[in-house]
Amino acid sequence: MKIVKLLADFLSDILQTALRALPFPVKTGLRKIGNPDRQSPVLLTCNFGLTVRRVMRALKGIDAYLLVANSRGINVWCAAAGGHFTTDDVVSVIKTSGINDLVEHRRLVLPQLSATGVERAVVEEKTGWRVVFGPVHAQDIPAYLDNHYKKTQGMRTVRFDLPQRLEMAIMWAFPISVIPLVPLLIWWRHLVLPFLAVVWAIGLAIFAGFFWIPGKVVRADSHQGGPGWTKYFIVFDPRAQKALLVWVLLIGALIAYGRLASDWHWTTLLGWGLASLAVVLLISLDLPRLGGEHAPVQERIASG
Amino acid sequence: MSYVFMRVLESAPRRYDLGIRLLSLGRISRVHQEMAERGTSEGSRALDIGCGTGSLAIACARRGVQVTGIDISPQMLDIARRKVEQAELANSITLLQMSAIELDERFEPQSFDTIMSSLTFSELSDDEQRFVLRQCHRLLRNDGRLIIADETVPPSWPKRLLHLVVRLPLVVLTYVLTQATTRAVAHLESKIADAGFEIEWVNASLLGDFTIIGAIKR
Repeated sequence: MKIVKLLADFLSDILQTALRALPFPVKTGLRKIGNPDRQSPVLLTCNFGLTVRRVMRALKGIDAYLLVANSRGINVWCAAAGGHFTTDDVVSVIKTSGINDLVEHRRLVLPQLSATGVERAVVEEKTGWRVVFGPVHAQDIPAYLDNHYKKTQGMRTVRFDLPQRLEMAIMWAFPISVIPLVPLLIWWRHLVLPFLAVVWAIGLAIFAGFFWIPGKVVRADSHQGGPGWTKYFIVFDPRAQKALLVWVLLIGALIAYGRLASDWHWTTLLGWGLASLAVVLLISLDLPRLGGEHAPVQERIASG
Repeated sequence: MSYVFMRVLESAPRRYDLGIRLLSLGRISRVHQEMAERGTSEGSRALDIGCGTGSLAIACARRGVQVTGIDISPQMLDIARRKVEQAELANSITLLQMSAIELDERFEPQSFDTIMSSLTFSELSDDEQRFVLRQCHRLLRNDGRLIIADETVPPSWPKRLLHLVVRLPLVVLTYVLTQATTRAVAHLESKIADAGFEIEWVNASLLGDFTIIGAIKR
């Protein structure tokens, strides 16, 4: 049974990484980790499946209680910033999970990135629990607990390391490469491999090379966009042109390949140019702005 | 089935009433009427949990009931207030913006003769459903009535399978439009009984995917 669970978790991790833009809600409420007693730490996280499994893995070997609050199946940062992980959700899980009867202390550790959506003072007033914001990343929780609930600078800092950037690349490239597969397989089967290559090359190049590609990073307080319809695409933001630069380089490489190493007609080159531009625009579509929201752009780039 | 689309409607409260009437083929008005007739009497005090745009509260108030409606959405309550004023029932209906999880803080025990809830439990987690039911028990007077109408998980597996087949496309479409969905309530009857109520009557749809339950506090 343990192997089945491990396999199920592994497959869920892959699926939910590839489709990370979609919510994957899991059951809310109380989870015991190890053999917690009345003094054990109480931590809280969102109910995005991937996050819950990662937090539980990070806490392996520690006796603790984990409260899973309703974030509509969305990860902590996106849900808190987007109004889906709120003070009410935290209050609700404290009041309805039965945690009040299980521990003697009243200290609750929330993820630091939930702070944009959760009003600590209101939670404390309504529940009598003292709220502290823990580390950004789940893997820092054991060290944080060992350090008597004190965060180091590293624990406070949002890192956008290569593994996380690759996750973002997969999150973008997978759905974009899967959705057009049906018409491609039916009508243009010979274009399937080149199409997949372009989508994944652009996605991986943008995110893997995020800090090396020239171009400024969008400020977290940015609410501005370009003129007219361009404001709906992050790529046209004058401070976030990495994706456009990658596209220009890719087109240059395509033209060089088509003219020098192969015998591509200019219409073929034009077709690939337009197709890859469509991919870049899809990747950079500013969904919240399209929906009328104006959340900070950098958060969305970094967290998906 | 169409209650999945509630999420689409909730994202645009102004269209909620028209949309929910169309999607339920007029059934929701009959459901509210049935709840009001079977659960309330003139001069009684009723609580409507998750009152939304106030249709159920208005149906009860028209029977001479003093209604308190609570909802977490200020947009829904704005529309409810306008409807209450248009129906000239402002003296009979009190609307409060609050979560169902705040029921333990805001009302004294035995404050109501009837507690009703329409299409709200499907938005709560299992723990929250049980908490709210315990609060309903606390807030009702002895022999007071609880009436809950909601989307429910069908009782037998063939019905569940059929329900899933019909529901899945709607879930996907609703998700694409709103990035949210509803969750049919499982074991609603036993949860109500566990909270200390005696089930009085059950009115379920043919497929068992929509149920109205009447219970009494003993």
